[in-house]
Amino acid sequence: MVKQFGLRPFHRMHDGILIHITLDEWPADVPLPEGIKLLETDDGVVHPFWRIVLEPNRTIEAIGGMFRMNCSLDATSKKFEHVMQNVGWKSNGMLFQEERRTTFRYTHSVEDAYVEVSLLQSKDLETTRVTIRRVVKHPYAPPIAEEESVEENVEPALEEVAK
Amino acid sequence: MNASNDFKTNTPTHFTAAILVAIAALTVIALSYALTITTPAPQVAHAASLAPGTERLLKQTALHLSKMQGGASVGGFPGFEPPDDDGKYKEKIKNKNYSPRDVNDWVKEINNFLKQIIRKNPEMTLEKILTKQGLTAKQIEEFTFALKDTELAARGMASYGVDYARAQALRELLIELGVSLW
Repeated sequence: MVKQFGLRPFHRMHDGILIHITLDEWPADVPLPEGIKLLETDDGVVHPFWRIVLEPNRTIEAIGGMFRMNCSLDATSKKFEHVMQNVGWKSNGMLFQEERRTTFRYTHSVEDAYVEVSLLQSKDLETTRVTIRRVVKHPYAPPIAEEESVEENVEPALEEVAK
Repeated sequence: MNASNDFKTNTPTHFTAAILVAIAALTVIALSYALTITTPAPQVAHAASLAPGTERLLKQTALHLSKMQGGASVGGFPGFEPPDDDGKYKEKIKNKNYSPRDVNDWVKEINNFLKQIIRKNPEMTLEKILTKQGLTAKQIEEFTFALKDTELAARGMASYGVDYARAQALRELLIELGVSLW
């Protein structure tokens, strides 16, 4: 069954679009640990976004989201390591590590893709803010096969006309 | 006679001593001057080749990025320390409890600093600027990551009070500075 997205607002960039998504639409290949919640500010819930950027030789697909976990940085970090390795992401280790913040990077074994998980522990040590960014790079290739097949079909027809 | 002898014996001694003191004083002054101009803070070891004022702008940028990183140091620059007498602000920074309106204001400032950095150092990438500033590869990565993190937050909060054009402007400034968001 095709999901009914209905009408939804999107932001037009000069080279792509950005659409806010719900937690249900979060990509399954970046599993979220149990207990994670969308970040909530005084102005409302901050929804994740899906962003498509069209570059001349590639298409960039980026998913970004900000969340909150009601546990310490260490516990959150372990939960992420567990769920990410379960779905085949390869850990590239920590980009940064300080007393209250850590950033992990994971790469994909097949796709040109990576995930960055940035964790920042609150001062009371009870909650951790999580920022996730998944970037997939799709190389652009013109539809050569289609063009060739069109030419193949056209040539005999032209020859027939000449006769 | 005694006075004459004193003149003959004491005057050259006084004179020599005075000259030695003067030489010593000049040496101390020269050394201290030389030390001042040849021993800058480690972080600004190469800053001389950057346009004047760039270091201040980088510090200001890092300070605003730090606000979104719980007040932590960014790229080796001092972190943001909210005033002690403002508990609400302190809580906002330390617990990363900022609102989209805060992000909107901070991104505005960051954009403003980045514009000036670009204007002062035309055709230089951020990496080159930070290298000249004396940052290590790790610190450069950290500074760049904080900018990308800010851009992500601005995008995510675009529907709640962050001016969309402002988030887009940050992205375009990053592209101009050769910072890949991907």
